[in-house]
Amino acid sequence: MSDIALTRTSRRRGKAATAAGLQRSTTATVILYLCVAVFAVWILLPVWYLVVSSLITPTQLGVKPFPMIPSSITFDNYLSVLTGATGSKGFGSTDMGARLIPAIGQSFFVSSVLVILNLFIAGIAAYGLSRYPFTGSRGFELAIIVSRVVPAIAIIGPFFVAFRVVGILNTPWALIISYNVFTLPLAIMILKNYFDQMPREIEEAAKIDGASRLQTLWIIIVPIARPGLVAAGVLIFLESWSEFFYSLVLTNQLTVPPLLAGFQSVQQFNWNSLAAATVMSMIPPVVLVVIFQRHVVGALTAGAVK
Amino acid sequence: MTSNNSTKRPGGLDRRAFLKAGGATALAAILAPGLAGRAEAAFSGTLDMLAWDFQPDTIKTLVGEWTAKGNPAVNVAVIPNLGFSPALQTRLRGGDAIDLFYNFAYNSQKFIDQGWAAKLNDLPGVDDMVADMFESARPAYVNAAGDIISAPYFSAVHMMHYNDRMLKEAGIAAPPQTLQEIHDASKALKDKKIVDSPYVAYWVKEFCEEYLHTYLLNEGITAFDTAGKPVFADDPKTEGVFAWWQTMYQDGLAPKSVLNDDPGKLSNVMAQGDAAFFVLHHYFLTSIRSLNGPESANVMQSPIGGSNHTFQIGEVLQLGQIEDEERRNAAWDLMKFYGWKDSAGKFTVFNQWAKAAGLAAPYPGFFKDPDVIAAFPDYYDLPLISKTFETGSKVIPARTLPWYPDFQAKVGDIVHALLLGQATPKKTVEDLTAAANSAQKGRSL
Repeated sequence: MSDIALTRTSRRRGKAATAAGLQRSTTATVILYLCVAVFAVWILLPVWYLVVSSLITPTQLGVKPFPMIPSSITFDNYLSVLTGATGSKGFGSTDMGARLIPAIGQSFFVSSVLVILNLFIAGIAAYGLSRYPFTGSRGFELAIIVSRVVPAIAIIGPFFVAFRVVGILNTPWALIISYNVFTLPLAIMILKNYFDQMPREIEEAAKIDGASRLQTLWIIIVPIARPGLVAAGVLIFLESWSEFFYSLVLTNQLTVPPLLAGFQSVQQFNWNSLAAATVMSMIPPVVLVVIFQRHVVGALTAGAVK
Repeated sequence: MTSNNSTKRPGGLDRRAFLKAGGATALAAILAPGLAGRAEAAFSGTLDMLAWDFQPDTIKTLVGEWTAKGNPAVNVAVIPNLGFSPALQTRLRGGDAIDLFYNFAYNSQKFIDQGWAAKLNDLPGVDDMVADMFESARPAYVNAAGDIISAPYFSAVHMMHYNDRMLKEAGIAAPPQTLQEIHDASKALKDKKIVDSPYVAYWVKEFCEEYLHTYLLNEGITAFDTAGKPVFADDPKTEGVFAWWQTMYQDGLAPKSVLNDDPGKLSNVMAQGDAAFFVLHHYFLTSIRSLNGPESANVMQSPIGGSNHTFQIGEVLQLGQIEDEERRNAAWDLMKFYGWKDSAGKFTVFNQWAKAAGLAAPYPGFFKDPDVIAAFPDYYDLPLISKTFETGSKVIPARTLPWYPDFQAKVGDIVHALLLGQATPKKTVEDLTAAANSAQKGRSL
């Protein structure tokens, strides 16, 4: 609801600007679109390179200049990744097929559980910080942000010892617990910002109607804040999906990133198979972002036109 | 060690003694298999092994074969090579008990000092394993104090990969071996426009340290003495090596992209005919040939260093600190199988790595094993590689010392400054000496 309101606001501003004689010139429009096109190419070129690499042979990969539009394509790299038929012809992993799909499944499980957990905890925390500020709450917010800059290597040791004692090393739970270090602050930041933009009058009306704080949060706020929650959820999912170091230390290639890193093995690389595996592992997060991109953009720009 | 027991020659043998001895021998022969079996099965738990991700299915198959011979089960955990060192150290520091693990050679002494890995001295058969190695390889596994700190996981020697067709076209009679010959041959190929940037090597920052030793050894220069003191600065030829290195890059005999290119790309460059020379580990011939590029079949292998040496490298296996004697013995048995020979005296594990990627083992017997010979494709000159291991290469013992990774981390920046023309050869020698000295004085990063 809120992002629709924001869109309407920007449209009104656009119309007002046009009415005031500030309509964009053709030259400016061309330059703007040119910049957008250059930016899009800059972003998409590596992805295209990756996709092409996954569809050509190792020999084609070495041809100069690189065949951005290959004369012939093959699905052998995908087949070899799925069946493990890299064999002695390729270096690195030979049983990738047996490991990639389960790893994608584990990544999906870890990321999904983390999203649910984080939205619940961060939702309550962010709402509290937004609606019930206390002495030092600004400092508390800053502390949350600062906690994101602590390097993983500095805190992985205690995590390892704790999880070894509890017996959850090499399980998804080790990752779900440890990932909170960097996903929870992110979720709190996004949701706090989102809650700050929401009108308080609705909550006051609910209060007058006799709703408790938690009832107000659950019945009134959550439905209204759905775009913000979706955006935070998507970003948590993406952060969790691409995390490498915790997964490297706390598990034995349980999730996708350390598994893909396994394609580099003591100076030997199999770029084509790596490209194919990477494309396959990109599918779930890409689908997720495509579905929810409107919410992500809306929530992240919330407050920009305050 | 067990095979070296001295035997007392009896003064005489009467009939009674003969029968006694015969009876005892017969009894021992009957009981021996059972005893042996009981010894193998003394540890009934599961061993833990940590490896990096190079054909994990092969690792599990090999270890499974060992278990199938009446040995304990092994839980094999695999993590990527990328990040292996910090992950392993975090795990060991966090109390993880790993019985046997892959390790980078440069970490081996550090792990002993930290108490994360055990010395192998006095373990049954360890002296035989060391004695079985090429003499040139031993200092990588036995430190200056005589402690046996690791066993081989794989070994390799730096070799020249050259395009035979291009050399013939340029009228170069034999593949170049010395640095000067490499320069002259590269210049001839470039001047005759046969290939634009004839020489490639894996000169990324992280790998310059290996080339430092390769090129110094090629010119007969030893970088560090047995105590680890940097002595390369004392050799007047050292500056010449750096001048050569800088010239190769500055004169365009190596492509500008070579400071960032990975070995996969460089192999492809050779396979496509975009370079004529590629110096790296011997097993990259497999990579170049298996790419099946237009020039793959023309790429051959030859020694480098001329009358001097090339560089011998390898990564290692280390045994964890294991209190329980039966467990330790079982883990050592696994280590022998994985880093030496199986119970039948065959190089079963190394043979698999040879088949998989042309990796070698630092044992003369490895190169004589018919199975190993069959495992290497025909395009490999195995006697040449064996000879290179035996007399044509050296390891750098200082590379296993605890301070060495600090020095190693600085070499890339210093060498890249040289290649980019930001430092003179003289300053490079000074900078590397300072880096080695500061690394030895304490942590310098």
